[in-house]
Amino acid sequence: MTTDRRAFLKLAALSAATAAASTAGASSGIDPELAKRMGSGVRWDKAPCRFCGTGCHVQVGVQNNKVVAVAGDQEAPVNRGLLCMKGYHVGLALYGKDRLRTPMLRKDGELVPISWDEAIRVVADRVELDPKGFAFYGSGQWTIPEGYAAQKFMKGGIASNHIDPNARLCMASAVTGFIATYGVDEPNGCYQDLDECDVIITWGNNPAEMHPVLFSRFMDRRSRGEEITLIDLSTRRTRTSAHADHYLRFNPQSDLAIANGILHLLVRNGTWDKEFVDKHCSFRVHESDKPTLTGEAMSFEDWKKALEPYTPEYVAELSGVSAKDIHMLADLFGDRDKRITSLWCMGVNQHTRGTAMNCLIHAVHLFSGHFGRPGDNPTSLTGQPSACGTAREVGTLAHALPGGRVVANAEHRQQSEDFWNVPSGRIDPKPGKHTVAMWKSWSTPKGEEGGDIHTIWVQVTNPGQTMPNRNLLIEPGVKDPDKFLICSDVYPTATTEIADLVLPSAMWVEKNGVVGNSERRTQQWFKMVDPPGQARDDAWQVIAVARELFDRGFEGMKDKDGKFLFHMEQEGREVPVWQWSRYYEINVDERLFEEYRQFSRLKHKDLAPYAEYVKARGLRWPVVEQPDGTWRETRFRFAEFDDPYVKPGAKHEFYHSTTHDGRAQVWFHPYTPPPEVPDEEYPMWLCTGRVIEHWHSGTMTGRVPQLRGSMPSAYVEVNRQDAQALAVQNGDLVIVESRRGSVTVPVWIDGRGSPPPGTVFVPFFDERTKINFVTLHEHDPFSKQPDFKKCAVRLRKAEA
Amino acid sequence: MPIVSAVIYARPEHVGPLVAELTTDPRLTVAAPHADRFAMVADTTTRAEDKALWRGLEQHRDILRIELVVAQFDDIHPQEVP
Ligand code: SF4
Repeated sequence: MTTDRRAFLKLAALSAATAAASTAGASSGIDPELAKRMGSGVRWDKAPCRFCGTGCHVQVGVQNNKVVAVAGDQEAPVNRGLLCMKGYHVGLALYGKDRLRTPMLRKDGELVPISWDEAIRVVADRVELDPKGFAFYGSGQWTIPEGYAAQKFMKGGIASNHIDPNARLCMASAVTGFIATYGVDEPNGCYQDLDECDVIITWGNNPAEMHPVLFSRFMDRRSRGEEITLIDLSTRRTRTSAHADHYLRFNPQSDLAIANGILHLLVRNGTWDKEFVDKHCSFRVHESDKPTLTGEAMSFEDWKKALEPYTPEYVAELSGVSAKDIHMLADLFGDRDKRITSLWCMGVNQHTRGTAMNCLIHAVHLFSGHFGRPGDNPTSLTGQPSACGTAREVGTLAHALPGGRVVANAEHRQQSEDFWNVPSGRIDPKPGKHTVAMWKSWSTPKGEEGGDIHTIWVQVTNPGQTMPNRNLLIEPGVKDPDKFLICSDVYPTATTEIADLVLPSAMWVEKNGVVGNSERRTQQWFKMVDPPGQARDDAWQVIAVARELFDRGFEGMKDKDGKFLFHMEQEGREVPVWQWSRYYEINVDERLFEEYRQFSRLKHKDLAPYAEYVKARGLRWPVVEQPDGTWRETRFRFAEFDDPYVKPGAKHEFYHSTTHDGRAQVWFHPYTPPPEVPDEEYPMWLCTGRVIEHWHSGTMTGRVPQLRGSMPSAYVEVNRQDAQALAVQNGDLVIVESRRGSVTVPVWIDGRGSPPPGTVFVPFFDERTKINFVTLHEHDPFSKQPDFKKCAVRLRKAEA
Repeated sequence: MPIVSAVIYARPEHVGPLVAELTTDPRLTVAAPHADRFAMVADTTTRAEDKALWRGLEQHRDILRIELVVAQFDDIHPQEVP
């Protein structure tokens, strides 16, 4: 290494860190010093970071068809030039040595290379075997056009609703919470809340590690001397707790009791917002034997009565949070001079009462009137870069259609059939199988009840590592010769390991993309480099299989006029986009996006034309055209001052109210114990989650030497007291065991996080430690989202 | 030969003295502070030395938090970097 080269590397490293340290705006997207030093041979362009739902923009430096540098985008309102350690390394995730480069089919137990033509024929054969038993398992990392193509392929082409995303495992309860409360999904607020609040409450959320750039907005305000209170409600001490003014540790599942305790005190103290509640809220409960998401009406008097048992003392007994602290929380919500932002993510969503808990956070904000002002909102966060854009808005869920439509509604089906120009009746009215049911069906033998799913096509996710209770949901299917697993991915994973057909995919800036982040911001980028070997875009893979079926005469792949379902023209001539060599002849992403955009206006989630996103660092929907032809985004929904759909003079209006009167629903949901609690045999709680260095199952971040070096392997966080009782020390191997399975991991005492006695934490990024053999597959009755945050385990020291 | 950069969050009242102190270490290049934080790059000769250096910094009384921001492209694209 020459001195010059080393000096350059140091300068680049310092520039990146300087950008991270500075939040000062600048006139161009990249650090001018970095751009100057990199020289004119490097071409820079914008793209959102690949690694979480925050949606930071990066500037990507490309030279000789390779990503050679990444810098924080100083023009991006989300991150203002800042990135976290994953973001700075996002470019390196492309260049792991073992990228998948060729399709492979399992023959005699071994994966052997095959041609793309053969691979496409194999997928089409599996569809034709029994279209209703073919399922698609996608992701909140699908781009919007990819998810839309898969959605149209399944619901408009195969006429099967068995399509669900991994987002079912991460934010489905947020969706059901929003719909049950406001009649429409996704947050009313945005990241501006973090800049304007006086108080941040993190409900089972650790943004310091999971949404670090958002957390830095808070840290930045604090460092400028602003007084902001951070209250961290958590079941274990995390990096977020380290910065909290109040760390309130609660017993697993008792978050429901805490929210009810706050509501109880708001009633008792008379500090709720009477005017807001009178004008804008109704009360709701589940009374029926067969509860629905919309529930039944409840009088205010009955609602208050239902809350009576939740005295601070009772809540303290259930939760472990002192009565004094419950009073402190209620007093804060009772003070309308303060602006309060609630943040939550997996801790609340991965919960067998996830829908209920989501509803209760909304209830606390609505009932106290902490709603609709900048800084004063319940702001739910998502984990994945397009959980909102693709899973929620494109609706790649088993019951949904694009644009907030559902398959069970005849009018919605007709709208979709019209947009897709397919015959009426093409879309199946029966919701498909959600994630857990899909994999359970795949793991049930053909001919047995519920065993109808014979094939699952997985794209952009790694269920072999992330599905709960793997022994129940995955292993039987792997061993069953009638079952077939197709996996499109970029690296070998715990899923490609068990797949029958592996398809190599392009990733991130190796393809065009559009995603939607946590704050309703839709973000676009262009392909910048070629994918390696024969790796190809996920959307192309779907279109190629659709065309193979079309050529075989499969009716579903034709529209009403007999044209191909993904018919695309240029200058009056069809472009054969199913041929890889012609795929980039037109911008397929733009075509798919523009078609999808028609759906977005059906539920006030209006998207602007594709070209607007090319110019911007993302726009928050609804994006509405102005008389002068410009497009205006919306920061705060349901508030007259910003949302164009609120009637003038209404101040607030919930225009998708489930009661059709412009009101939001304030729910009553009682505390109930979790389905599995520690007992004599399995005396400890297990919580699982992520770490700052790794993205989900570590497939990509594990290939980045710097990130892998910072956090090479999984561990189990153990409280010092429990470690003493087990006679283990840091680094000793222990077996973490539940009724479902076990893993062996080294102990970390007083590590990054610190659980209370009787609780352990294991991250799920390490594929050598598949903690999901241990977790529980029990799920929320409405969202069907499993609970990865609590189950009963025991620990024993492993033999040396 | 690790080159590692990071954002250092310091005790607000000790930023100046801390920057001055770290600047005396020849392995470190320290940027001008923004409020309570500043960028820094460490250039060490071995992985072990790098680890020991950062461990020491983590335990420094005036350092509240370290956010790693490494820009080390050499092991991936030696030919691309000037
Ligand atoms: S906070 Fe999320 S989006 Fe931003 S740089 Fe980090 S991983 Fe990427």
